[in-house]
Amino acid sequence: MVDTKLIRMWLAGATLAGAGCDWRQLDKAVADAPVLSVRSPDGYKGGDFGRVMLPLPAPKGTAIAARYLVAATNGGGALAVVDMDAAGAVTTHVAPVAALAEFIDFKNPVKSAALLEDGRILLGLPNVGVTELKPPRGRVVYLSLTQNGTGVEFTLQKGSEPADESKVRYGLAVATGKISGGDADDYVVAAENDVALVEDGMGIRPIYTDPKCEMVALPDNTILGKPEGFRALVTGDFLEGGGDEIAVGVPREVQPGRVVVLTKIGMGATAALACDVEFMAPSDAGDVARFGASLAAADLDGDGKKESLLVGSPPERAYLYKGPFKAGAMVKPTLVLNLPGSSPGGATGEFGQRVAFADIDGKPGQEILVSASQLAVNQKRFAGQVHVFAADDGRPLTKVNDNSPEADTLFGFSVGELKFMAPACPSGAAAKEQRLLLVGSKSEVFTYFRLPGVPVVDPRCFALKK
Amino acid sequence: MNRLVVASVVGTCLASTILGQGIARAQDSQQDAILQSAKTDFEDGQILFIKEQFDAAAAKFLGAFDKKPFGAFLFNAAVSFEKAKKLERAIQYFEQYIDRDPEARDAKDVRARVDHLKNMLTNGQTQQKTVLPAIATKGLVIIDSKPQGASIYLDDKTGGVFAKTPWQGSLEPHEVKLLIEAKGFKPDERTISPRTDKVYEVYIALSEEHFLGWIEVAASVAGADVYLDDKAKGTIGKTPFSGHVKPGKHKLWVERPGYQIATRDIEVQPGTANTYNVPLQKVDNGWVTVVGKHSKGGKLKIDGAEVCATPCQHMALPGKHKVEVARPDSEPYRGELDIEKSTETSLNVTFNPKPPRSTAWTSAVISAVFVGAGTYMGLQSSKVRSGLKNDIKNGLPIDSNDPRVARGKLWAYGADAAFALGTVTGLLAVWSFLSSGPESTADIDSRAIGLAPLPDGRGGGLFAQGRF
Repeated sequence: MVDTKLIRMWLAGATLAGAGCDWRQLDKAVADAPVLSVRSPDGYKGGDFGRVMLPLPAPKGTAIAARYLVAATNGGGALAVVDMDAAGAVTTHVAPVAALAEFIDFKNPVKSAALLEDGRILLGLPNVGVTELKPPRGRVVYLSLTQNGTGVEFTLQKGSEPADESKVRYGLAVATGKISGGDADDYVVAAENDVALVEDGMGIRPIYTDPKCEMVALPDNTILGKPEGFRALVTGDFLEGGGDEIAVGVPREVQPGRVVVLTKIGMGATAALACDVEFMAPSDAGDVARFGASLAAADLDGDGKKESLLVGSPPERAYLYKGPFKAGAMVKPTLVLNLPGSSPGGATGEFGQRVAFADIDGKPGQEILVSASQLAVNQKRFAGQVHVFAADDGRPLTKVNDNSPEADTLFGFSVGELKFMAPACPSGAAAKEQRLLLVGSKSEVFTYFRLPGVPVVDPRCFALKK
Repeated sequence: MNRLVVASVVGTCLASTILGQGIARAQDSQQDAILQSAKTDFEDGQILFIKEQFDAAAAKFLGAFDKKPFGAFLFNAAVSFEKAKKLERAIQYFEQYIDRDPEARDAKDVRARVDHLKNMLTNGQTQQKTVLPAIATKGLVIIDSKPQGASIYLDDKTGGVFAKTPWQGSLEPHEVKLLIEAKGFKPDERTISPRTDKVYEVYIALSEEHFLGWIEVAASVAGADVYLDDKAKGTIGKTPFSGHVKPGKHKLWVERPGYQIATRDIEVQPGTANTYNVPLQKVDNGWVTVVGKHSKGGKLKIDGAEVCATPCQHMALPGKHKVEVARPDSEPYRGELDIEKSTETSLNVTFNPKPPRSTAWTSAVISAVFVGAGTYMGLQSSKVRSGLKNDIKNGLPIDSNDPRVARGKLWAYGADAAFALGTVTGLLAVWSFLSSGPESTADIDSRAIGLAPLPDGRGGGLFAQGRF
């Protein structure tokens, strides 16, 4: 009598073993993974891939559903654009070295980026001009992306430079907004010891802050013992009055950090940035020296203007200030956000290092993103984590981290919102616009099509077909 | 008167009878005296020969010959003359010796000696050198019987009839048993120890035998073994065979290699002589024989059937046969033989060793290890894949670059590599198992079964024996 059970077991084992030989099955297995991870492709010479990350609008008339920019910050001098199609398949366009040669190289990496209304991208290069005798002065350049079939052409143009040698590391942060009230976007550039407004529509002429504003900050925002050279800078209509203001984080080493709201005053040669409003951490807070290390602005009241300000105060907190604010008034935080589940004196992993607003829960209204990129996860040191809070009451909605965390990967070093809109699905399913959570780590960028514990519809076509 | 006549006639008859018997006895007595005188001369001659008085010894031997013309006396006289350096006379008596008994078993040697002696005379060499073999006088054995014409056998009857009585000649100087048989008489035997310096007389008077039967068995081929009633007891002799047999029914076998066994049921009547001619037919088959010490431990297969363990012989029908001689550690010999009737085909196989299987086993083990490792790694890869799919299905935030993907791929690569290596080494193992060394070869010798003369070593005559 033949032992059919034994034969069946053998056949099952052989089938499994045979299937296990096809490595492509592994790619198929994760093709519909809820999280898309993108790493640096061939030709990307940068040492990191997720520290400077700028969501971009998908170019019209193409199959691209989402796009973002990444830049190497630590000397790699690399720049790339990541495109995603309706199925979530990724194409990464690496800027050719020849296109970057005049402005960006391993000595002059990109430290900040912002999008102008006309589609140009501002890139802050704070290390430009560094010599043995002088500190770097810095520079801002324009990047234009041209769609060429399925490819992307990178074009760089000279932007602004500091007017004198007193401005150090110009380009640590950049932000765009209608500061001067004109039609065209202006942009703001933060240096180590100053902030300048460039009225782009008026020609390149930086307007600096009033020296009384004391804009000298802890510039390097040191991470893992290495100066990273970031500084917080956002624009928004924080003060009632129509035009945008500039919010600048001024973290310090010992003294309590501040957030200063700057307003353009004067015209022509007398124009300056005045510090009308100042945000301070509550007096009962603990370590508040780095209050203002990160900033975000959002429209929480639905009037189309970004009136509210989110302030990161690593290593323990983040604060939501709902605007608009009145000049000279004492401002108190609307919400104080702590690392969920943390105990007093416990590790908080630089909670508040990065903050952002994003509408990612599938419901109207913004959510608050706060990262703790140096939090240990699964006993992995500095693995990092990002927490999502409801903006109305600050309740924790969910948290994300690398599902297979590794030490020192700094998940959450950058956070943002990515707009995903499939142009058309082959199945004919109705495409749905979705805002996705975008998280950068040391060398990887994660796009969350689904969020743990949050009922979000996966906008990819194969998911819609289902 | 009548009484006187009758008494006279009877007396005359009795006297005549007694006289006749007395004359015969007188003649026999005279013959015995002559033989005794000849023996005396012979023995005197031997003594003189030992004393190296060769001339006198030769005279004594010739004197004995004059009384009894036995060839041995002439031979001894010739030897004595040769020792006395009288080569011409030595030649003379050697030649007389050969003339009298040309079939003597030493006739060839004597002729050669005569030729040599003649050469010595021709070349003027009178000094005997060592070129001639040593020579000595010989003794004499005289065998007689009553009745005369009886068959003489030496030791037993397997060697056939040695001679018929009366016989005189020389025998080797060691103990020998004489069997004397005559048709219608009871056989007799006598053990003697012949000497070179004596005349040995043997006279056997056979008594009539009437309660036995006499058989003579002849076959179409001489030298066939004759068995009677029970083959397990061994042969009673060889053809042509004759001898007494108990009266009654008997079974007779006549065998000779190369011939079919012939049987005959016979009935022997007491006091009768029976002659049986048994024709022997050549056997219809041939033989295949595997010889050689290297063939030990092997098997002989004929037409695919194992027939015997080598070295061995096996009967086969005439015709073409496929033959294989295999030994465990060697490549087999394979060939086709054309077997002929009554022919033995001998195979002396030179075995070529089989190539070692260590490589094959090593490859097989390595292949098994690779396949096992491949299976393990394939299962691990499948396990990783299943884990990923399950995690995604369960809503876990798995990302597309989950490290398990790389790990699963490594398992898959490893499985593929292991299976590939396992396949290669497996094929190598199969090839090694199936590979063979050069085939073994064989020296083939075919010959018909026949007779070959073999020296008996016990006297004159021809001994025939079948041999493969």
